[in-house]
Amino acid sequence: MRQKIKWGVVLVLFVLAGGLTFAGGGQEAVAAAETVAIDFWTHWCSNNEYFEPFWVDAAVQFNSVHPEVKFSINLNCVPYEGYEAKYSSAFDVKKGPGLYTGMTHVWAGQFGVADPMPKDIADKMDEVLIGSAAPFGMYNGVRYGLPLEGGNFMMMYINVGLFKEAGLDPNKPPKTYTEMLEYAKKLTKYDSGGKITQAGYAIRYKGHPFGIADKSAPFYHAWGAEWLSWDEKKASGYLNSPEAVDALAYYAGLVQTAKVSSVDIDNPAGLFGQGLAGIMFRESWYEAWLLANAPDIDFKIYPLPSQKMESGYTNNFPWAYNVGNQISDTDKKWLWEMIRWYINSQDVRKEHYVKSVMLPAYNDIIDDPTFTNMKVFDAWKTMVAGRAAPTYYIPPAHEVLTIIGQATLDAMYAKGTPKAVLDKAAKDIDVILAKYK
Amino acid sequence: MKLGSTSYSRKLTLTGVFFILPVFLYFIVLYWYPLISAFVMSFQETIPGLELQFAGLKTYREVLADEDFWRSLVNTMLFAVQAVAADVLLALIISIALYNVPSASFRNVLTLLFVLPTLVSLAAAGFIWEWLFHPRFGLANQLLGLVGLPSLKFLQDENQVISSLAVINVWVRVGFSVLILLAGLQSIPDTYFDAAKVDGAKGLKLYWFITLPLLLPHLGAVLLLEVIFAVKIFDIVYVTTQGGPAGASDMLMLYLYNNAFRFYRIDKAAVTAVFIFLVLLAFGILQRRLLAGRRYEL
Repeated sequence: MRQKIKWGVVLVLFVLAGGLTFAGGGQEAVAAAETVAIDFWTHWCSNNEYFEPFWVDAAVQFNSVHPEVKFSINLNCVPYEGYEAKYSSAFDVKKGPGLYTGMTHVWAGQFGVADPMPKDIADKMDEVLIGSAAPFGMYNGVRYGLPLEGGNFMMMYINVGLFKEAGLDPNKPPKTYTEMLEYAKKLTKYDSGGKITQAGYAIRYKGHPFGIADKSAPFYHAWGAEWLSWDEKKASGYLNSPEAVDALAYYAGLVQTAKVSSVDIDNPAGLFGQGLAGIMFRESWYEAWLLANAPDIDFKIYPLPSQKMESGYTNNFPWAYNVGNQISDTDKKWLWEMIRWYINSQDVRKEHYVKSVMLPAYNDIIDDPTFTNMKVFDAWKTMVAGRAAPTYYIPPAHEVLTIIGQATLDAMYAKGTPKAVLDKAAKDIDVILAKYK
Repeated sequence: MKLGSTSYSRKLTLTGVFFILPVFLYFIVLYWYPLISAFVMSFQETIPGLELQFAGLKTYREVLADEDFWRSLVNTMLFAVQAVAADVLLALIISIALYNVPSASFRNVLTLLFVLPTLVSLAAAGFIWEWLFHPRFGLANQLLGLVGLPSLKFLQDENQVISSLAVINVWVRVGFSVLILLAGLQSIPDTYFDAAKVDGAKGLKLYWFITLPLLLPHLGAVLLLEVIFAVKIFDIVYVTTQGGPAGASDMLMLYLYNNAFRFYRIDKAAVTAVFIFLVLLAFGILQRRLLAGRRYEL
């Protein structure tokens, strides 16, 4: 009897405990919102103070519209140098971030770690994207990412003060590269030993060869050259064409023969910011950087010169916000929902770019006075109305452009003739491209 | 439990195993596993889609046919020769000078000054020296100007970049070498010098016939460590020159890094890693054989 009472008490206590647990848990389950915390990795923090942190604030705004989820974005500013190693290491162990800044053709095409955009968002993107930004965030005809900026191609920055000092009219920029060389000769200053102390044209010579290739691209394109054919999977006949050789001869000649560019004093961004270069080429983001870091520099921005044809708008760093495909389905669902909200909200996008003073990638907000009053606006408008130069958004882009950059450097440092270095580079690139046949 | 009984010795053995187990696991996970993985990957090739497939010696042939590999190998050897020679010679001179400082406390202070740069991270050292070596604003050129010498381009000149990197390396490493050599000098009994002096030896002869032979094991250790460090140089190069100008400071580790993380050519990176390992292993064996039996007991 005592045993029965004992077991009866145990049973009752067990049932009570279970009931309390489920009752309490059930109420909890009904009240709790889903918690989604997205890691956002970007190496763009140093380019602009507001552009990337905006996404943290945007998550808060999104929460107010979607109270059923506790959505947040954790901003991780990754230094640009070595960002590929950090990204690839994380993706290798399946711990990649949910949102990251990167070149889609690399991270989707080569690594396969980007999630394709839902159709409705991609359709809306096609509707609102500026033409020059349309290829960014795409690979193989599929849209993955959101382009960062609308002016992500090089334009010509001139130092107004140095122009006037050299007797040049800052309102009459060079229209051709031949003219630019004449301007550069007047803008260049030398010390008693013949070393350049003020560059006529600030040439990129330091850093990874990939970047060297990128900065030299407009010259090749202006001479009518292309670097390769992805369809044919070859660079021979393209990279070492007579037009390409002429372009590289001009480019290397800025250093070697004309001596209007220096491989000593500093890289273009720093040099122009110090007021030691008359002309340099850079993307639209550089305007905000100059205003913040070199406010004493009086500068104007113009379209790139032409030669046999327009340089055209293009770039080799088509930065886009990509959604990683290694996060959970729930996280992915809400992240795309947030992006859907962002794309469908003109005001949110306008706030993003106005606060950052960055040229937007979207045609429905580009007419805001904040952007039309930017120094870069007219140059940008002229260039996007003109030629779309070739792009090289291919999976082995890093390797291929490194070879081109090295060849460009070899010519700049007179380690080979333009023809010889380009012949070798074309042959090496053919080997890489053959793997993709 | 009796001493000498089987269960006692088993217990002792087990205790020993447990003591070394953490270190053993550490070596397995952080040394042997990556080493074996690298060997395995070196016989594979990366194909589109980032898969690795068996390729036999194909990747070895590709790397050996790559001019960038040979350039980085030559640059690394040039750097290693300069950096190691300068480091060992300088460390020897400094340690002998410190050894002859009469006051022990003053000697310790001076030793600390030489050791301090060793505590600086290599990346920080690179940033510091990049500014010191700046062709326009750098302190180095200003000092050269003060003594009437022409300014140099240092890290921005193809012919000067490797020597400039060697200077940075010596600045970082010499303190560590000084510590080892100073300890070696202090371990030489005075009786040897007294006996040599009685025989009429003095000045440089003392160093040549007594000090250096007795210091040989320590010199060997310093040489081996510095060669390993120099061949594996990466941080300073990455932070300052990125292999430039125009590839003039491309080093083996930078070649490995670019292939692994920029181009995602894990196969080529693995071959480079295996190559570096074999080179350093060969050097270590050669050095040990040359110095074997050279411990002098006078």
